[in-house]
Amino acid sequence: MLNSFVEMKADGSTSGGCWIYTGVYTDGVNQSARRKPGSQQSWVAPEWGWAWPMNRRILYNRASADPDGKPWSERKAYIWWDEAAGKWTGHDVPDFQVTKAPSFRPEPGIGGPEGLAGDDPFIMQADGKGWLYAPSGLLDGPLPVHYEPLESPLRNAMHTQQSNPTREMFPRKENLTGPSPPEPGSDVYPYVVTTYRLTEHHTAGGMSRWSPYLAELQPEFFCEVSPELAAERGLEHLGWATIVTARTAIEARVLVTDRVTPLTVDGRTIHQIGLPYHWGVGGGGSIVSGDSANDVMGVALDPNVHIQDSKAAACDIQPGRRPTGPELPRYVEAYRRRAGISVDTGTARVTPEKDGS
Amino acid sequence: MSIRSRVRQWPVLRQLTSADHLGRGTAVRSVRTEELTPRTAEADRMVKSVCPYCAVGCGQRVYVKGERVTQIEGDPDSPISRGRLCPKGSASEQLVNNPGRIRTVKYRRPFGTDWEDLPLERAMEMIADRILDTRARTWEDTDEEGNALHRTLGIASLGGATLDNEENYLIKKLFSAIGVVQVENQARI
Repeated sequence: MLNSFVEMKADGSTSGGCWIYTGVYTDGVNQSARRKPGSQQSWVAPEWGWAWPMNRRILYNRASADPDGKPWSERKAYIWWDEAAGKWTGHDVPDFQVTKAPSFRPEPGIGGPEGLAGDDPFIMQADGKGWLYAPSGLLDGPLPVHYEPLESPLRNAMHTQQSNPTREMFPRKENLTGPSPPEPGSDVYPYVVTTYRLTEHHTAGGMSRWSPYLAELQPEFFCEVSPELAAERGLEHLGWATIVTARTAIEARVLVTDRVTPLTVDGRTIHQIGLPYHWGVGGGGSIVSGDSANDVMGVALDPNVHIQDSKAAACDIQPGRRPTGPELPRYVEAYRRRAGISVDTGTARVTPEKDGS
Repeated sequence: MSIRSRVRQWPVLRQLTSADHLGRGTAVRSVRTEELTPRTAEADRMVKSVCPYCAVGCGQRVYVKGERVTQIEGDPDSPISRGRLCPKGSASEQLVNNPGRIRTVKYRRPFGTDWEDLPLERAMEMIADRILDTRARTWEDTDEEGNALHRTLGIASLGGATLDNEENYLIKKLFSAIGVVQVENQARI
């Protein structure tokens, strides 16, 4: 059993199935089962369990010291260069060649780990640097940029381009998108709906809505709105409300709080609606159930790691419970007609230069 | 109990004569309360574990009596959580002992509308039969130009975010060994 992945040989005489986990059985002991109390060791607690790779608790920890190898902050000293001993030392396992001095500079033209200088902490990057400008690897561009969500009541205040032109889309009738400026019709869905979590439930509730304690603490699906939005739409605290987007409509209990403050953007008041996403129907035997916040969200993905653009959508909210049965799709369809939604809505990649908005 | 000692047990008297003048502690404690023992004290043994919910990894003390989990509490030894648990972690005894918990293999046959119970052994045999059959039918030894492929595109694996590193390692090892190349996980960075 290898104690570290650096013991791996290129000649085939060693084997390792998962390099980062090499060493979890150092000295034949299951290092991940260690439970030495935190009070009996340093604050980094290297003997509580085990972390990959090499029981290192913070990756790239060379960056906790300045280019000369001294901690940026004595109070937060983590690892540092010990000049007398000629090596990196500290509270954690250094994520750096242990004897490479901060002053080390490689000969020009050398690649790989030997080509990194003593002040290049990001050793998994080809140049050892942290990247703000990423010339390769990203499909949309080298610098962070602001785009509006795919559905937004607002025009992008920063650029002509409204939303990410390289987003992945799935345009079909089950996954319609509401119009955003400069397309007309966005006033039909004038509010922003977002989702969040409660500490009493977990994801869609499969582990928590069946627990009597947790179901009692957070018994019902709700929508959180400001007093201003409640007044604008006639919503009653603890009453029912219907939230409708281009996809469908759901119902939730109304929770009026001053946590969700209306935003003033570009001179307009924009109301937000918060939905916890832990409810659903069916599953059998759950103690509490309710409509699913996911139902009103659409599917569009970022081009790099395919994360769903589902934290923000445009919606309307009305007092009362939603229609049921065949009345529900008719209710949703009436909104779509007023907004002029088709399968093509929201699918234009490049926003026209002149939009008149 | 004598009349004298019954009178001494009277909470108002205890409140006036003891240090607990506000009647929020020992003065109002009943005999029933005195006789209660926590499940943590009655347990046969305690097992240290990690909370099954989110990725923080809070330490848990799992108390076992008669080979059954009777209580789960926060572990003060954990340098990560120092004894604390959130509501979900605190209620996780109700997760492990939930009466709705499925304890048998569920099988829905083709065109079936209901779940059926299967013995685990039988289910494992059915899965192995299907994997061997699918692999044999969809095996690609070489491409059109004779380059080695040694793979099947007839089987795919999709994992979830709560799979740990060890489980993912074993999944990858199994599927790579039988020539499956479509091994994915729902967890995004």
